Amino acid sequence: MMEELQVDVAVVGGGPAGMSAALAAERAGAKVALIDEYAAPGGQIWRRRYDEVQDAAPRSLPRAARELCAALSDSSVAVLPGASVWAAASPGGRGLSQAAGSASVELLLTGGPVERVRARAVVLATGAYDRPVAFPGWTLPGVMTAGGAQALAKGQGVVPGRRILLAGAGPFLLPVAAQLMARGAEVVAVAEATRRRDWLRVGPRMSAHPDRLREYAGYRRKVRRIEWGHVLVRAEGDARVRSATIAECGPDWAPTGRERTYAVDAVCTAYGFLPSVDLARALGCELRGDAVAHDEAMATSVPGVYVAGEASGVGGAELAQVEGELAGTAAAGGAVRPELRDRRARLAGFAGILGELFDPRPGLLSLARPETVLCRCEDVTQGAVDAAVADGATTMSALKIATRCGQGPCQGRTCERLVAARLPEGARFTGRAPVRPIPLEVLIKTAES
Amino acid sequence: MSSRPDVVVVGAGVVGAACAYHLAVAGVRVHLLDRGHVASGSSGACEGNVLAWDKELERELPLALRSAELWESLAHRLPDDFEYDRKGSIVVAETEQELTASAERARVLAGLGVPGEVLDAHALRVEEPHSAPDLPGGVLYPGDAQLEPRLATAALVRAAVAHGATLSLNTPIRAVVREPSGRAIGVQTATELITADAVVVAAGVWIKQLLEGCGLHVPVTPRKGQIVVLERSPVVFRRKLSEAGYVAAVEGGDDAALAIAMVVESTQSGTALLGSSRQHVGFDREVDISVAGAIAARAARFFPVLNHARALRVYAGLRPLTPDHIPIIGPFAEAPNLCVATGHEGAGIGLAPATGELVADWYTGVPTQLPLSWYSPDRFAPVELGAAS
Ligand SMILES: Cc1cc2nc3c(=O)[nH]c(=O)nc-3n(C[C@H](O)[C@H](O)[C@H](O)COP(=O)(O)OP(=O)(O)OC[C@H]3O[C@@H](n4cnc5c(N)ncnc54)[C@H](O)[C@@H]3O)c2cc1C
Ligand SMILES: Cc1cc2nc3c(=O)[nH]c(=O)nc-3n(C[C@H](O)[C@H](O)[C@H](O)COP(=O)(O)OP(=O)(O)OC[C@H]3O[C@@H](n4cnc5c(N)ncnc54)[C@H](O)[C@@H]3O)c2cc1C
Repeated sequence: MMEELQVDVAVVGGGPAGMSAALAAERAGAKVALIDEYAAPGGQIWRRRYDEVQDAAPRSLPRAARELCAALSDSSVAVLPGASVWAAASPGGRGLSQAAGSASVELLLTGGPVERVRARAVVLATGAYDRPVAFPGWTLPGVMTAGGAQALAKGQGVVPGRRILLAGAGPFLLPVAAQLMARGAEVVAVAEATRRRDWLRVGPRMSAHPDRLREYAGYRRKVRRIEWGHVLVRAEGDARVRSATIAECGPDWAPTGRERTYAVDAVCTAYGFLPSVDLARALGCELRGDAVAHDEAMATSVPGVYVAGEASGVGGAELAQVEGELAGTAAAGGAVRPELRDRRARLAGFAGILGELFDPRPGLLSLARPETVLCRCEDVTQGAVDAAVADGATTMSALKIATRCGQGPCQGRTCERLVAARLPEGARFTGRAPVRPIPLEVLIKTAES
Repeated sequence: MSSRPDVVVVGAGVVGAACAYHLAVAGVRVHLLDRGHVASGSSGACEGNVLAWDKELERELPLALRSAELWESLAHRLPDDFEYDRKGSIVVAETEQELTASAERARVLAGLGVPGEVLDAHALRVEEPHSAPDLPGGVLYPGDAQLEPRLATAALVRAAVAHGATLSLNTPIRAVVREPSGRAIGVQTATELITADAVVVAAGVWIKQLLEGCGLHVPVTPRKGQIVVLERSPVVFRRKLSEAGYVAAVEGGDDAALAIAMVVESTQSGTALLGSSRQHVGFDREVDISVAGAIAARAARFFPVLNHARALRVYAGLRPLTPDHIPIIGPFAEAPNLCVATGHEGAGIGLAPATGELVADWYTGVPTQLPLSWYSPDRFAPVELGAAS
């Protein structure tokens, strides 16, 4: 028999969005469960050190985070850490079993004692992950995303190398550079694709958010050498990365000339984040661009399914918390304070400015060469994908069939956009459960009950 | 299109691809069409077993044996690799009774040109060390093969094109158009009528609806099946494995009840595939997790090591089933230049090349390897009920 939990509201993801959603739903009178893959709530930004996972309010976290963590542990919310939701079904959307026929949303879990959660409503607060960019050498050991490097630094206290080059665009580069420096690494260069003139263009609108600018200036003081208008064009090495080359880039971020090579033992890229939408897709939720589509109350296109935080669009931790509160309240059937919507609109406005400035530009796609691998799991090169396109493949499933791309353990999370860029706009893999590899024993249990 | 084709083939699944290939090799001008891409139907959502032991003995087995020969030679002849491997298959018995019955079937098959070797419990464990300790034995059929069906379909299409066939993808056929005499004129797309001397319809599970539109009856229904794909692991099954009860599941009733029979195979890419399920649920191709769970449970019953494996994904496809479980290949009496090629249920990959060869021989007037009458669509023609009264 499956170990089961029945609640009013189930929240998937325990970052700022998920924690706020769980607490808001509880305040609205609901019985709530909060599920997160990591050993303790906090999400990406508030990822705890491994020795703090038992703490109610870890000391290494900022105050806002400590307060939220403490409120959560004082609440009646059933926190299920270390558990992945690997499949989901809702009465109004796509399902696990056509025969299910129940009025609740059903989540299947692996990793913890509870294996199934049934809820009247669910909030997807599954966050985001680093947007992958393919360039020659991006699969070399020592080359990683800035988020990956940061997770290592925060969770394990280790840095990926001694001489590190960071490249990308946007506000995430600097905090990571500062964190790596604080742990003793030398940051040889930070290549930022935008130029000052891009910033001047959005400057007037930016000035409506002075707190954000102050935060940025703080990091700017710690990280002095920034190569504006540069992109990373390749990483080289044999068993491991040994050098990284950056080049000046044009307004579309395609490299335009003058290269500079640095001796390094690690490279981190930060070209923004992609919302984690695999569970939403498995439920049949509509997407808008990269994120899960939603209305003012954070309701998705599938009845009973809400979304909050980066999964609904990348916008930072503060926006994630506001959205969590909106979604949690709505999921519990509570009344929303109108000023919360206004706050959301303001914060989303700032996220829009950042998007305008830092969303990846088409020139980045010119970095990969025919021999550059796009799908790392199945070792599929850009050349192989292009050959399949030349052969008549016009859809992602045709490419999957022709090249095997997207069929490995990551199920296309990494290569989806890279492969899709070889096709006309909007191409996507289909999302289906299981959204995570699962032990067969777990799968077998679903048939027994 | 540059010139009028001799034959239009509808459907670029493995069957249509094999038809186009054999026709093109025979010098026929072929135009192959699909509403999606190559292998976008059942041929892209299945496994690639080329088996003889599980076939109906009179009409299906001869087709399977001819097909097995053809796949072997195609693996050598076609320029594109499709992971063909004559790895042999083992039919695993769960009980002593099943072992006795399997040994008896092996004796019959040996007389029909399918050699097999009966394995006792010890021999089974030597052949397949992961077998559960209580299994009494099985039968090894060394001639059975495995291939990658999507790559094989693509290889056939590419070879057909190399022999002059033309290909239109993303081109739905709205109707097959017939003259008042009954003969086919050609096929109607959204934008044009493509005329040809003959039309071959290899539209898989969608054929019934397509041909109803021009007054022809092809009673093919979809029978859903799911596959569980495992993560790459060091656990490799050398042979293709099926349970003795598989034939009963295939031949089982056509009702909605779910039938599960163990099928396990490792692939060249390092994963393993677990099947199989059979279900009548219309054209639904959504994954049903509890059915996947039942498939996994059955596989782990025979190979307990699988309890520790991890499932990566699940997919579902539709098998084109006919009322008598025999494929439908050949022209209609009332439409003599309209030929169908479908209804291979869970064996379309295995049976495709011989099907393509039959269709090509029919069109070019060469004596066919097997009597076309065995597979005729006319066997399902509605019987005229006494109109007199
Ligand atoms: C790698 C990375 C590092 C970041 N670092 C910073 C930073 O240093 N500073 C900063 O200001 N912003 C950072 N951000 C942005 C930050 O994520 C957001 O501002 C904020 O944390 C978003 O909150 P969230 O609740 O939407 O998502 P997250 O905080 O990402 O939380 C989502 C949670 O959902 C869980 N989850 C996802 N899918 C499942 C599932 N199927 N089953 C169970 N659990 C699941 C995840 O484990 C995760 O804990 C980072 C983002 C990423 C992707
Ligand atoms: C889970 C599962 C496992 C299987 N395992 C095996 C196995 O191991 N070995 C084996 O031999 N067989 C196996 N099969 C069976 C095999 O998949 C089928 O028998 C075979 O793929 C049928 O091929 P087809 O070409 O007839 O049909 P399809 O591959 O479905 O091709 C028909 C094509 O016609 C096109 N089409 C349909 N209507 C139109 C239209 N109006 N206009 C234009 N195009 C149209 C479709 O797009 C499609 O591409 C399995 C099936 C399943 C579901």
